[in-house]
Amino acid sequence: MSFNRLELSAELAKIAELRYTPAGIPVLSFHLLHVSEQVEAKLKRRVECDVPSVAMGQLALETQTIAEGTQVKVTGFLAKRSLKSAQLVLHIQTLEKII
Amino acid sequence: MTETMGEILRVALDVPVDGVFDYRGNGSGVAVGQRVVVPFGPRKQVGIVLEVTGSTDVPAAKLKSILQSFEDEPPLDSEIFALLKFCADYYQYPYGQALLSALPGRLRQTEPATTRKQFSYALTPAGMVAGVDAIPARQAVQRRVYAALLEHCSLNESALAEVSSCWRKAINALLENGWVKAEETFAGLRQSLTASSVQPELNQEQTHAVNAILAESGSFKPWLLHGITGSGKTEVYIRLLQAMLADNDGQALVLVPEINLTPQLEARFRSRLPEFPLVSLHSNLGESERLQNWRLAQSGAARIIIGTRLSVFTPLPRLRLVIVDEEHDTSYKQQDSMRYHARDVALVRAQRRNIPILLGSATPALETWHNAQSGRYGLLSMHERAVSQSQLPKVVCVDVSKVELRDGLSPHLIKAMRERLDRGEQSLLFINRRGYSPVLLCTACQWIAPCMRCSSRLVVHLRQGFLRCHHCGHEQKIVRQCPSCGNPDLHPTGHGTQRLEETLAKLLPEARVLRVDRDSTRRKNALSDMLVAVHAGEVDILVGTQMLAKGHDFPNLTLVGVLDTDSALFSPDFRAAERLFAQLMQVAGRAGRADKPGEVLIQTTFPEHSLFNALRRQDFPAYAVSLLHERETAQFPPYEFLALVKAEANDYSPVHRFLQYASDTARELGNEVLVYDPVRPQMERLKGMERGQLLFQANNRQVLQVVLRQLVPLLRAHPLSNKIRWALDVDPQEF
Repeated sequence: MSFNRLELSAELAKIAELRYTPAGIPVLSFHLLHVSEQVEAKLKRRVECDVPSVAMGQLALETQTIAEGTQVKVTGFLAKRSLKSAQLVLHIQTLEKII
Repeated sequence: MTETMGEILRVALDVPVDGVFDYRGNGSGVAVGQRVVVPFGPRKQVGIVLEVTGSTDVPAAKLKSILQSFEDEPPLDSEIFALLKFCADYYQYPYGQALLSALPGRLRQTEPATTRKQFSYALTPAGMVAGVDAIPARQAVQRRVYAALLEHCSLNESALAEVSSCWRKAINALLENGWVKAEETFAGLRQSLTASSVQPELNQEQTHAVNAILAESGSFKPWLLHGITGSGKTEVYIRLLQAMLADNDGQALVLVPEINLTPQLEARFRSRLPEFPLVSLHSNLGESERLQNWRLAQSGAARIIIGTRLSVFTPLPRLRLVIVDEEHDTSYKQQDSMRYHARDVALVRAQRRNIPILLGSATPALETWHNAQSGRYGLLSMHERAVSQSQLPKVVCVDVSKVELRDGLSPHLIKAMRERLDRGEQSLLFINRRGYSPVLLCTACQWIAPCMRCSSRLVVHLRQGFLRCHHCGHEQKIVRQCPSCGNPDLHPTGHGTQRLEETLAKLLPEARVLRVDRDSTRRKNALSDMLVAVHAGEVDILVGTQMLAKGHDFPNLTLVGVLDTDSALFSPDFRAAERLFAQLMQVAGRAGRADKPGEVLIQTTFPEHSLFNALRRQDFPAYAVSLLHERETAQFPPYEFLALVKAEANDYSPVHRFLQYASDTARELGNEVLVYDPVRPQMERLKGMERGQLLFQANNRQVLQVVLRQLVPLLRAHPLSNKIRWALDVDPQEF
């Protein structure tokens, strides 16, 4: 059994213009700015990260209506940006606003 | 065994067998050159009588009778027989098939070939007396038709159609009143109401060309008219036609490369040469119209015949002059059945008729140029543009490896287009790739959408949501995800006309952009409507493929941008550089044709390539010298003569066995011809067929012909001959 699942709470940022694949699937690229406190080697520490993310299909349309700066909770999987790239992109599977 | 049994007809049939067939004539009185219907196996076939004789080798019991004959139809003349016999021999094609395929479609059917009757109309004395005021003012069309008839005496249907689109109703009313009478005419001989007899002044070079040809107009002489774009070659043609057809009943054949170009040239000839009945012949004509025009040529009633390659075989009893416009054009080469080259056939025809032939081009084929240089053809050069103020365009290469492109466009080109837009002038972007983008790519796994039937990639047609193969026509919906890894985010990669159109809409939103390619001109008359819009100034930027490169004159066009031509610099085809140069010269010729100077911007990664250097100087002769040198070193045409056997089947193994047999056999037939090994062409699979080819090379046409003449019957007799598809291409243009 293999796993690829990431759960993150973050601020929605740098939302790109909505685009479509040639077959007409909507694609929305954005970044997730995450800040939290985690435990590492039994020590508390602060964590910050900026995660390039993408949402497709209905999720892309829904995310587009959310303002930048909104706190969201997402789940998704990681994939390389392209075959030759080392950069990872978070592909969103669920996204909900944190009120 | 020879028996005598009344009248025997020797008939040529459209069957893939070399030879003719004997039938009983049954006293039909049919003459040589006329059509008959004969039984052939279980079917009926149309044939042409080649000979009427008294004896045959066929036993009486096996000899069949003709079923029908068309002795009322005008017979084909012996010149056409001889010409097609020559072609059938040279191109190693069955004579009967060659002969029948040169006829209009209607004459290949087993029915009598009739054409719709057409009439011309004139006012009767009663009509003259009545006067236009006798027609009620409400009947505006009747009044217009009446006025036109009064002015021109007699008008035919096409001329009346120019008066009004509903002329027929008006004419019928006038006929009923007895004011107009109808007379049957030939339909193809159109009159035009807009004849203009303004003769532009010839410049010195044009005058020299016309005089040189006229001085030797009585016998066979090939001329190459090498004139840069805009040097006024058409005017030379017109003067020659005027001079050589006046005061006699001679005919002239004018070959043009493309159907799209016939209406333009036709209109110009009609208005300048209204005294000579003119017909056009090309495959876009309806069957009935084509037959009619063909018959008009055959009868001698048509004096000028404009046509595409197939019209080179039209019977012309009083032919005096042959003109081949854009003689380098590849569309003169027939690519299936009998693979003839219309320019070469025209040369043979002119030689047999002992008349002059004029080949016109800005970038002659190297074969032709070589002949002109060696003195076999007379060379007439025109280096100046006919309109004296107009200058040659400035050609600039933009090194795209040094600048950042925006969707395929360099900042230089965008700036140049913006300047034209501000000045109210037109620009043309030339990109020889239709569709949105040539490749659909999955960036996650590098999958590229392939054609399942060809060794090619599918082209993205984004707006229609289709992927299309431009080789076999296969079409499918754009896939929702990569079939290899499942990624939905697929990327159209590379630029086609549609994408360029979209990019321009973003970069220059105020510009009116018109895309001209095979997709946007599919509707009938679409292209001519578009050209009208361009001339009317309703378009700022044209985006087009090679469709736009030829012949069209846009006086307000001052910028030509050329995109993505580099791939042709590395083509394995030895003619690629020659063709690219010809094409770029032609496209460049679109810029600055009137009084405004033109500019050509070529985006390339190799701005110092010798091809671009020659193009910058617009120096065909210098480039031809270097290309001919290359050809001589590499032993390619025009220094060597080639023939190619092309074969294909669902599976490659029989193709290979057949070609190997051909190769082995040809080697046994003599060592003067260089016989290569069977190879796969660049496009290994096409339309689901696995392809192979075999090349022959010799430094002498005759030597090659001798081997081919012996080889082809052996190939036809080979057991695999009927199991695969194969053809012989003599002097091939495509590999």
